[in-house]
Amino acid sequence: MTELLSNLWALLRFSPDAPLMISSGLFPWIFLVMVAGAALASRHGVARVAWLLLCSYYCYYKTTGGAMVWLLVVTVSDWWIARAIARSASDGVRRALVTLSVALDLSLLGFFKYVGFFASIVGSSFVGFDIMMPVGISFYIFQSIGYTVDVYRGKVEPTDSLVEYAFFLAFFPQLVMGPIVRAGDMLPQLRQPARLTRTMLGVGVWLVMCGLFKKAVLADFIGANFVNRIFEDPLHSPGIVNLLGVYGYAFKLYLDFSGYSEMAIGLSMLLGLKIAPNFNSPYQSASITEFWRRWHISLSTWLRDFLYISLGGNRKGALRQNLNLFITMTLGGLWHGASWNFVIWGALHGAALTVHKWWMRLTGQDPRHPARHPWYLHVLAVALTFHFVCLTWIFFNTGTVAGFTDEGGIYHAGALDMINQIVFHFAPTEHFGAYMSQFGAIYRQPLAFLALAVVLHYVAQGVEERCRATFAAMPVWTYAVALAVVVALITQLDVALPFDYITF
Amino acid sequence: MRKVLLLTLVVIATMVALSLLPDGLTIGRYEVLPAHALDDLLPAGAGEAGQEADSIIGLAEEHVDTCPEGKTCIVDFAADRRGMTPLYVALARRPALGRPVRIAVLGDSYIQGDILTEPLRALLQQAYGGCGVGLVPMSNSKSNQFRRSVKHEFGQWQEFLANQRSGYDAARYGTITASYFTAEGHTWTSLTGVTHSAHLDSCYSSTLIYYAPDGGASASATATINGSATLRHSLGGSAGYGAVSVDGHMGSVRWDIDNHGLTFIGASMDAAPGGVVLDNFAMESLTGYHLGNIPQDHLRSFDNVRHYDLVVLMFGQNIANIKASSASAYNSYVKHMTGVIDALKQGMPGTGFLIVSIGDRNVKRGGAWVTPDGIKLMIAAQQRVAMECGTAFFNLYDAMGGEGSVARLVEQGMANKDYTHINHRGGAQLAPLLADAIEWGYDCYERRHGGKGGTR
Repeated sequence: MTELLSNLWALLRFSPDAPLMISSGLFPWIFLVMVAGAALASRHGVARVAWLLLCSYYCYYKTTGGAMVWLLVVTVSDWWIARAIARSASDGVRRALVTLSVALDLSLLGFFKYVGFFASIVGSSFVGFDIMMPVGISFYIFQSIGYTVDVYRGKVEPTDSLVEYAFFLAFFPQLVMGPIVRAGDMLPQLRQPARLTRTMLGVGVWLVMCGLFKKAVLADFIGANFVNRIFEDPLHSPGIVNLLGVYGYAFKLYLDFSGYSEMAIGLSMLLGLKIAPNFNSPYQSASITEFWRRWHISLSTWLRDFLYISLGGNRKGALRQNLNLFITMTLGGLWHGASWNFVIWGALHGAALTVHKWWMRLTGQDPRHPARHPWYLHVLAVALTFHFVCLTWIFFNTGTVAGFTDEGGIYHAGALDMINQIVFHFAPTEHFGAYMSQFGAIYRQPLAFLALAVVLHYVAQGVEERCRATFAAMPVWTYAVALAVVVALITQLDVALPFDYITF
Repeated sequence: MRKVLLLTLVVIATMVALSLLPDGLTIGRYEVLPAHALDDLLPAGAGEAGQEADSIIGLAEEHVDTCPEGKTCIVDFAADRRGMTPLYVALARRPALGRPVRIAVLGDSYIQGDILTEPLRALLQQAYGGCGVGLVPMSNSKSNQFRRSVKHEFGQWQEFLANQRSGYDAARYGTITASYFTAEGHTWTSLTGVTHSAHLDSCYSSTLIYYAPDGGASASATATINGSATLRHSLGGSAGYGAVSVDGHMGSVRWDIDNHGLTFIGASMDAAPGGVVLDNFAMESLTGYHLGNIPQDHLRSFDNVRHYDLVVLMFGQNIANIKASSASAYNSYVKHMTGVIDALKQGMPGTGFLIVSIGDRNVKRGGAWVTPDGIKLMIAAQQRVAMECGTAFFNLYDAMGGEGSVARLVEQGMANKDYTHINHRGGAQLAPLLADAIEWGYDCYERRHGGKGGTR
């Protein structure tokens, strides 16, 4: 009995090698407690928010331990600064305050994410201690900056309740990996009585289930059994296999990240809170501009509103607009992590967006309402966009630009090695057919999963919406059966990889 | 809200129910995997089973004469010199041996893809000379998947693997390689050395091994060395295993085969006489039991064409049961495996045998990664097999750091998140432990036999 209790105690404490995620086995138990408390307090608005905040703080502690103190610092400072901005009549003071908030937030982010990177550029290695990066810091810092800037711009009324603001930043389902929620969308919901309609219940369960299926079934399986094996040693396989590995990664990353977003949005909905979608079948995009309207929407709109527009947006001429776009995307790349790979990834996207803008101008099209092309041109454009995005994913996933040999004498291939392999060593030297049939036999299962993911991705949006509506209209016991089936399926596949975006 | 509460309860109930399933439950041919929702909570065991394992493993100490502090040495239980001795004898005589010193490593997914064996081969070849990847299956089957130690290309082959549920016929065609291949008419296999390792870029000899079910089957084979074709060989003639070899400095070799009924085993890139050759015959999900199905005449016939000085057995992860709570849980394993090794010893006279224990495997208990008693008992069982059969034994679990060591490898990116399997980097970390143990054992052997230190 004492061992049981001590195990329980250990289980409930923070453990660095088992951070809590919404897909962890422990989460449903915590969610049960969360929902039970929220149900009891549902008539008392403040009590409900306070309860959910308490649970979120506990979850966040389970995820990141003592490093959660930085979330508290940001919470209190930005809550106070935003109120001070609203109270001040002087433009100069208001500007000074918003600058202070942004500087404080960015210096925290910079300290945890970029100190080592910039030190390596200037050739110093002064960081003599191991910095434990607080999980989700990139997300909640952006969310908090968005709030103070919106208050400064007069777009959002600051909240007087510290609990409300703390909840807005710490709400666990979306704290760790987004979506980056806007204060203007979330705060008003907290002041209304909690409502969970029958449709919200159905759609919430549907989203949690789809997200779980995408992440824990498709993404993990494709990642563990296909993508990781090819990326581990790209030089061993001909270019065509590398290319398939890159396609696999493109879908694996999408399934992983959008799966998480859907789970977060679904769980929020089950608690009575609505969050806007974060993905919209991004690989259906016919241009890179459209891709960024469909991929990680909460980040791209954040970058647009708070970086691109702050830089001047399109108000200072075409040349400056393109420069702003390029800077925004390069910094957006750096946001993902302190490495040249992410900088190059962002710069490639920035350059592509710029080129696309020029092209639209040259052909006299309105980028917001692109002309409808014949179907074959549309397919071509979708394929071209997808392949460009895949090219940038190589930089995103390889870790280094060029390869290097580690101290153990093992060579680690870089992005350029993989591109070189795809461009110059595309086919196996001989007997293409025999090689590919063996390849197909070895990777039969993950390739089947990948094919399923591709098909699901390219089904028309209307079909997905109809499925969701049909599911939402089904009786509640069918939800129970469906959830049990998904849980059983995950157990049987027995692969669990960490989320890609947890490191960002 | 009440409905959300109920649905959450359904999810939890499903997880708990799946966790209560017994190990090894099957529906038809499908094995149902249990969930681990309660593992963190349940007690790790009373500790008695761990003590039982320790006391069995402790018996090995009596069989070690000298072993430096902090090192894990090979324990040789062989009274009939069928442990490490044949290897040490061959190493000592290698200048005049007239053939390479050969080691075969048989295993499961732990070393599939030449994980661990690639760096082990490199270390032994560095210490005692030799080159080449050894014998490789005819096609890039699951037995050779993800191998980085050779560039392997091939035409159409039909493959038969020991881990397949049907098709593989050990009694008719099987040998210790765990795979065989058929083809009708023309096909081919080519091996090209890789440049990332000093001993793998080129070699001195290539052998093609085949099996003739009867006198009527035949084939012809031509080897192309570095792009130039050599003589055409006729294969077959009499029933049993056969081999043809070509010699010469080779960076690549391609075997073109016109087949009429023969079964093929593999092609090799081998060291010149006196050098070390290490063949890896690993395949996922094998237990070692399949070796018991090989007929004695197959073992002997194969031994005639490719004699090994040492056979290393690295199985066990597919048998180990983390929930086992006493040594008797593995009694049937010990009995079965003892029979398998006795049969191998009989069919491969003059070959030594080394059992390498399973590596560490961890589960989460009370927030920490620990080695369940079921794993320690498995290692004790493997040592019991070695003691009963009189073979050598290497405790890999002990060498890699014992309790919780695989969790430390996972942390360093050297093992997979299943807390069982190592990756290539982990293999590079563990291989020196085994290579050191072999080298230490050989040095001791030399000292005992008059210190022929000059041969090294």
